[in-house]
Amino acid sequence: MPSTIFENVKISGIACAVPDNLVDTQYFSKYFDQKEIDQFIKTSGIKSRCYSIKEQTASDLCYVAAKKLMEHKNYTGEDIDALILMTQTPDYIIPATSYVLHKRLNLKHDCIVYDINLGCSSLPTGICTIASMIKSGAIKRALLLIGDAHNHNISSNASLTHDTMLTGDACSACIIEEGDSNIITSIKSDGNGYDAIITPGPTENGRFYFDADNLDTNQYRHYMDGSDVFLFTITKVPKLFNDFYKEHRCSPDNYDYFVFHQANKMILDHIEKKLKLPKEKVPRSIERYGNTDGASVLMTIADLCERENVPNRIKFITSAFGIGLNWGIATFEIDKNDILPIIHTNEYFEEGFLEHIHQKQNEGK
Amino acid sequence: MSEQEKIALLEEIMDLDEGTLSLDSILEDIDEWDSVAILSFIAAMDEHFEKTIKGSEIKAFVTVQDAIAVME
Repeated sequence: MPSTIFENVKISGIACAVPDNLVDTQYFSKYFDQKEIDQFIKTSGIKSRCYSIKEQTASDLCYVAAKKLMEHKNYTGEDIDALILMTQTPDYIIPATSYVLHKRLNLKHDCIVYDINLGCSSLPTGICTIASMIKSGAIKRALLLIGDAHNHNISSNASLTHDTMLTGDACSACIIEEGDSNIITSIKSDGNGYDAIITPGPTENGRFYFDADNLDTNQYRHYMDGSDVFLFTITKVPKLFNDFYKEHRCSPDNYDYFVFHQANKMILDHIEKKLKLPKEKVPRSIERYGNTDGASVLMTIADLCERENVPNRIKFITSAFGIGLNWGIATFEIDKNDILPIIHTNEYFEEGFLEHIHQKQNEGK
Repeated sequence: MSEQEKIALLEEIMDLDEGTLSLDSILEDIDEWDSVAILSFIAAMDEHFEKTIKGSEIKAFVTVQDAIAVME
């Protein structure tokens, strides 16, 4: 199936949150050679990013963004029929972290709630999932929350890698509901690349529950085959766009902005060049916020609206790609007034700490 | 693309001055032949030759001759 047109469905608001803890790339010069740092900035384009504080998780960022967005739209928990969280840094192994957010946001019981485990490419799949539920009549309105917080410990060099410098923590929230515009999504997947980006489980053979009594935490290391992922991106993404233009008989002129997952500068440069896109139509947030995983597309949109004069109603074509491997396109229109400025926050949910959970368990006995 | 142009492209990929490389230069001995150069090589193959080449194939090149042999 090439792509799906969802008629009369819209994204009615966007809010993003980052930790209030900006780290300059130069900070890492105490761990890496200056030459290495300079080359990192040159190829990745990243000068700074925000890192969560020790107690703060992706769900904390999602909560702040979602709450602000619901206030902006004048919605209460009664108005939200579904909550989907897309993250790879959940609060717990189980339950799904979306349930923590369902509680914190005071959403009603008539609500479909679940997590989707997808990374950088989350947005098209998330939009397609919710738009499908709306068109089926199951729901009228949903919150789509996407984000990761990696909780990097940067006060020692024990686990620092270039990947640490590449990623920034951020979450995006958007509300999708019935409305007066159309959304188009196009999504592709290739499981042959499942091990191109992988974090194995902490067991001898890397598969999670195989030997839970003998955990090997050395095993629990994130791995990415940089050159394979690069090759995948620069070939599949331009092809997806060209197929999309043909199928929908449209051209780059039909959109105000092209917003890509902020993977790194080299990837963005190459895609831009291959698709012959004018620079002013391709906003970037990577320089200031790093690679913010699945949140990066909406982060870039929020960052764009903060920094530039945009039309009152904006037509976006967005594309995200990454772990899975998965890649896709999502197009939508939105009023600029419904895109909130990026929120900086260090708020966290202390009630979710294990000591409080244990206390509750003991009280129940 | 002539042999000379291919060598010049490889120099551009590695950010080297023109005339630095010859056909028998050993890639491993060149500081600039690093992980970024490999990504640039992948991008250049896609851009100039519409050819996809994997990082593992590029890492197997020994000399400049090996690298320019795939440029067609």
